[in-house]
Amino acid sequence: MVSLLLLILLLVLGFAQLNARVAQYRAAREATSSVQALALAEAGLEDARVKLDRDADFPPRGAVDQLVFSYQEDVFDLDNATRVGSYVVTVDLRWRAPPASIVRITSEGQAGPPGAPTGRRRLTMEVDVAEFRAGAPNPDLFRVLHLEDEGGF
Amino acid sequence: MKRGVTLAEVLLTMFLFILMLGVAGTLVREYSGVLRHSSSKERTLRSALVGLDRIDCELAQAHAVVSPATSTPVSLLEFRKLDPGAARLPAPPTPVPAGWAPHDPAYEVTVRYRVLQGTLIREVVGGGAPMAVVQGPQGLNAVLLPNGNVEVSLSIQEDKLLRTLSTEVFLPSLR
Repeated sequence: MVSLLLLILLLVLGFAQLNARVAQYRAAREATSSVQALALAEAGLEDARVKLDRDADFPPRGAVDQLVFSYQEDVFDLDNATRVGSYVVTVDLRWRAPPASIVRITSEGQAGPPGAPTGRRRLTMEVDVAEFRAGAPNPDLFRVLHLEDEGGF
Repeated sequence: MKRGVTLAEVLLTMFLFILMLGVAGTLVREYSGVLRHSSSKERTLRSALVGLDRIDCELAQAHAVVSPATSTPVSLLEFRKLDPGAARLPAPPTPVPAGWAPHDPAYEVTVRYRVLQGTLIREVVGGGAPMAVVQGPQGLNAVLLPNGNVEVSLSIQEDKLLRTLSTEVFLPSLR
C-alpha cells in the first residue's frame, strides 16, 4: 500500500516534468524549421538573380504586358530524394524600365511537407538591371541593391 | 479468524512511509533545483541567440556599415539601411521621377545596436526611443572582416564562465 502510494506520487511528478519539456522540444523543432525556411528563401532569391543574369529570356513572358511572373521549385536533400521544402519566387518587372531599372524579386521559403509547411520566411530583393547609370557603365549590374527580410510566419 | 494490525506495526509502517517520502522529496527537490538552474542557463543562451539572429537579419539589409569601420573590434554596431516604410518607388502607373536614384540617403535610416547594463538595445537614429531587444548579454563586439563581412559577437555570463556567441553576416547590398 505504501509502495503503491509512493509509486503514484513519483509517477505524477514525472509526468509534470515531462510536460514541461514538451514546450521546449516544440520550440526547438520550430527553430529548426525557421532556419530551413530562411535558407530556402535565400536559395530562391539567388536562383532568380542568377537566371536574370545568365538568361536573356528570363522571366518568360506569357503576354507582352505581363509584368509579374511567379514560379515554384522543390528543394531536395543531397540524396536528391528527400524533399526538404520549396520556394515560391515572384519576379516583378514593373520598374524595369529607366530611370528605375530595377527588378524586384520576392522569395518565400517553405520548409516541411507541401500543403502543411512547418516554417515560412519571405525575403524581397531589388536587383539593378541598368546597363548605364549617370552616363557611365553600371558597375552594379545584376547586383543586389536592396534586401528586405519580411520575417517568418 | 482475521488478524488485525497492532499499534506497533502501524507506527512502524508510518515511520517507514515518512522516511521514504522524505528521501523521495529530497531527490525531487534537488532535481527541481538542477532543472531550474539549467532552464535559467538555457534561457540566457536562447535570448543571446535571438539577439544574434535579430542582428543578423537586419544587418544583412545594410547598405553601409558605419561601425565597425576597421578590423578593430568595437562595442557599437551602426549601419545604414533602407527605411522599410519609405515610399521609394511609386506604384504603377505613376511614373518614376526622372532624377530617381537607387541609393537616395533621404530613404535611409541609421540603426545602432549596443549592450547597456545587460540588455541588448536597438535604436534608430532620430527615430524615437531605444528599444530593448533581449535581456542577458553582457557585451557586444563587432569587427569588419577582410572579406567585407561583419562578425558580431555577444557574450553571456554562465556561472563563472563568460561565453561568446558569434555570427558572420554577409552583406549583399553593401555599397
